[in-house]
Amino acid sequence: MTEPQATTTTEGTTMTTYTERAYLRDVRKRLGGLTPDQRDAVLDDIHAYFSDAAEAGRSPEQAVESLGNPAQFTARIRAELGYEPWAVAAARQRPPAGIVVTLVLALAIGVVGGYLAVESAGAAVQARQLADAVGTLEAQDDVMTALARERELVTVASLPCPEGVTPCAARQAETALLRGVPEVDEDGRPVTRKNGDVVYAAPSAFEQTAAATERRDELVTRLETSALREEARVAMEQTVFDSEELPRIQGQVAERRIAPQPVVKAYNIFIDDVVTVPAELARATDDHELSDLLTAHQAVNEMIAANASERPLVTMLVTTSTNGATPGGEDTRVVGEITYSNTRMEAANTALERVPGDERVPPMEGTLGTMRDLILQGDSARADLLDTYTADSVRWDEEASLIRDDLRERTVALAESRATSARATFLITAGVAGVALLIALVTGVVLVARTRRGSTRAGQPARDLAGSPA
Amino acid sequence: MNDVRIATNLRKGVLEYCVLALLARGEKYGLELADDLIARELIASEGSLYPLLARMRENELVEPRSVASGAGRPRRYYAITERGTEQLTAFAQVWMPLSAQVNALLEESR
Repeated sequence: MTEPQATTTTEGTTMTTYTERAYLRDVRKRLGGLTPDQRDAVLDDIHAYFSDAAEAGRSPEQAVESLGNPAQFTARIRAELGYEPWAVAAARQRPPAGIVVTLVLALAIGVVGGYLAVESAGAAVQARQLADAVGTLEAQDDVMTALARERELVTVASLPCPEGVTPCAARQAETALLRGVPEVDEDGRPVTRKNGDVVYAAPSAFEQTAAATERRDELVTRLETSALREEARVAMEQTVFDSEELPRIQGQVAERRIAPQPVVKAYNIFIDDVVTVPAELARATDDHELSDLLTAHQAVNEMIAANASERPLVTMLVTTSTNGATPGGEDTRVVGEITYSNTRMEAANTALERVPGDERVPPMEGTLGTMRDLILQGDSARADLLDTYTADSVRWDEEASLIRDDLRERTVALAESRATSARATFLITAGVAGVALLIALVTGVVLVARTRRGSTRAGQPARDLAGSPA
Repeated sequence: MNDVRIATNLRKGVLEYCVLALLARGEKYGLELADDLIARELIASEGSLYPLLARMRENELVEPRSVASGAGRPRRYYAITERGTEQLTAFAQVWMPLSAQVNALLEESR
């Protein structure tokens, strides 16, 4: 490309050179952000200046040197007109620190709070379901008590009635089992209606067990157990399944179609299934205090069940021994039962040591203790002690049941408290996370709006931002 | 070096009013105005004047107009506007007593 030569009229009044055109072109290019009017005015100034300079006898190069190179010149123009692209860009890129800090903090709190809320939501659901499950333990205990009584009555009802003994304990047990507990007068004789029907003071054991299982089953089947450990869920479901099997056993007992021992074994299974529930619930929680209470509840219940199992066997042993019947291994079974009860008692007291308070399973004193000691020593024919033993054993049951009931109430209260706390924790963390995320959203919107505004103003004079000329 | 910095800062503050004061005497074309300011050591080169004129024009303190100049291209003259005059008056009201006080102080401190 050939360099155009400067063209100057002889009068020196007009000058259009490559230097001038190049300078103007460069300046025009660098004033892209100005309004057309502003740009044209500046270019007119330069154009006029070159003319004035030429008329004054200055060369284009001298004129350019006086103005400064296009970059410097346009930088001054932009600065004077308030165009400060660097400042605007910087302002756009550096949003107010307060907003950024708020946004970052709110996001951090929102994310951490959200994570904690999700975690605590799971914990809250689990705690709620555990509390509800623990709330069914009273119904389970009632079922266990009813089953233990039924088992005892089935055992006693299977015993022979000695001749001349009225009322016979076996017949009384059968009546209590099938018909109910007769109302007796002051002389201990059953009260009858005018038509000769016996008046019953309490429903039959079968009816009582049926009522207890029905109530328990209704509560358990209503439970939401999705957040519980599978073992706990299965344990509770098993007790409900047992309810379907129980009427079949009761029917066979009523028809005397099965021997007492298989029936007792069936009852043992039903009772074990009920006793297992608090143990599985204890394993379903990481809360040691709650777990210890549930474990103690289960241990005391096992001890009560063991004593309730022991009592009819002792009755059977003493009765058969007194009748001169061949023990048929009953003595060995009863010794084994008493030994098992003793280990359960130790286990119950060990479990009770782990919970607050100094409650212990009541000692087996009086005739209860004496009879057990005699049997362990091989003397199983103390019929004279049987009634007192039975009364002491029942009383012991009642005392141990009071301890169990107290444990259960404490367990229920603690589980409810934990569920309430877990829910509160969830609500607080979710609330904090929600508020934090809301703040983050608002600050984010503000930030975006400011950025956009800054971006829009990047092409406008900075004085618009400052409110006065730069 | 310190003298230059003081002079630069002072000039920055008053240059606009000096231009107005010169134009208050009568309109001038760019180079004429620049030469006057350079002669008074208020600017170093034309490169400082035109950006200032651009702002003053934007702020409606001065206005350009083209005047035919013989056979050559028309000259671009600058004239002070009414607003520019008001600004100059306001500046003078501030500057006179201020400069008097500063001068007096400087005299006293000698």
